Amino acid sequence: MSKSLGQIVLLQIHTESLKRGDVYDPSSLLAVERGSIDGSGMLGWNGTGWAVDIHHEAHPRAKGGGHKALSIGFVAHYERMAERFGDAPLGVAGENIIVDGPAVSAQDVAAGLVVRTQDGAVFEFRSPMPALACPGFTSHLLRSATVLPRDEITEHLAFLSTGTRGFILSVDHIDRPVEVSVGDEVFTR
Amino acid sequence: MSELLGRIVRLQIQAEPLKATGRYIPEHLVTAEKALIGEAGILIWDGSGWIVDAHHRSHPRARGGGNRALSIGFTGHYEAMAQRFDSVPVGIAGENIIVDGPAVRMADVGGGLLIRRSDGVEIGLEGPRPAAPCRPFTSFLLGSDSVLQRDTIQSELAFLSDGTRGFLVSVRQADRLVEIEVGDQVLIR
Repeated sequence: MSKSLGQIVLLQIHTESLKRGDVYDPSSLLAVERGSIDGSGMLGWNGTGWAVDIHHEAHPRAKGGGHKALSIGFVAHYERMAERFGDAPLGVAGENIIVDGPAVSAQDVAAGLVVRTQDGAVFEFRSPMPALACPGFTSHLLRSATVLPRDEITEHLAFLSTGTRGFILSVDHIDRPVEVSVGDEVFTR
Repeated sequence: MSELLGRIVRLQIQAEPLKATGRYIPEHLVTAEKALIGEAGILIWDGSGWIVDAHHRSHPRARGGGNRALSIGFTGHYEAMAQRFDSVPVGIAGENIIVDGPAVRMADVGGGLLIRRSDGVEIGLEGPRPAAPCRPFTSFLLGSDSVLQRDTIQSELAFLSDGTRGFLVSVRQADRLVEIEVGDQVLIR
């Protein structure tokens, strides 16, 4: 571990798709107390049971084919989005893990990320890739009732797509479930 | 020719293993009107998300290694258990599917079971085998605060075997999930 980026302040799953057609609708985001992560994706404890994120292979409408099993975002990215778009509630982009940390670039996290849990367990997330912003999400931030054409929002898409919209993480190497909770600390690797 | 056994009257999952502490504590049973079943196990929608059964391959503490995706019990068995042990609420043994039907034996269901939905779709439940009664569950039925020694409960264990404690079944649906609901019919194949 090289540098602390901050503590996890929000864990959430997508119980269903956040897109209605192409329109972005974050109403299916569910904040959870703790998450369980393995190579298949993330489950979140919802107080009753382990609820399945839509990117997990066990979800009835699994998205991403296991290639975008987990995502992470940073509070400072939300501050930047709020500055640009007026309002960007924490977690609205749907990342599974939100860290109370700085606005990092792809270069800052290129070697991967490490989580240290409050009971001392350590595991890594590999190959962070900036999540590409889509017209649906960008139009949502712009408070447009319709999905705007890509050529009208080119600058916004570029702004969001260098990590501001979060990072997709590889968890293929996690062959036994690991548990994360709000308060766990995230480091660069 | 298939023989109708009865209709599903209860669907439930074990949100966490019922014997995590060594004793049988049925507090993590969660019921639903509908469920999704597949090779990996059963999920239910609890109002906020799809949650996985403790025997589902993706559960953080998956039990049974995916070899016992699903279990099924019959109200006839519960009546027999209630006669022997006094109070035995339907579903307390934790089977995922409870059928309002007779106390069938292994010899009756050895060829497999079928669920027939109201739209006529049939789902095969293959390889039924009696769930082996364990000491914690048997001790629970006897009202004991501790787990009793096997040699003191041999007669009860024998009574609960051969299907009274339910059957384990496999689901073969070529990697897809199918929905079942309370009211669907269950038949002998």
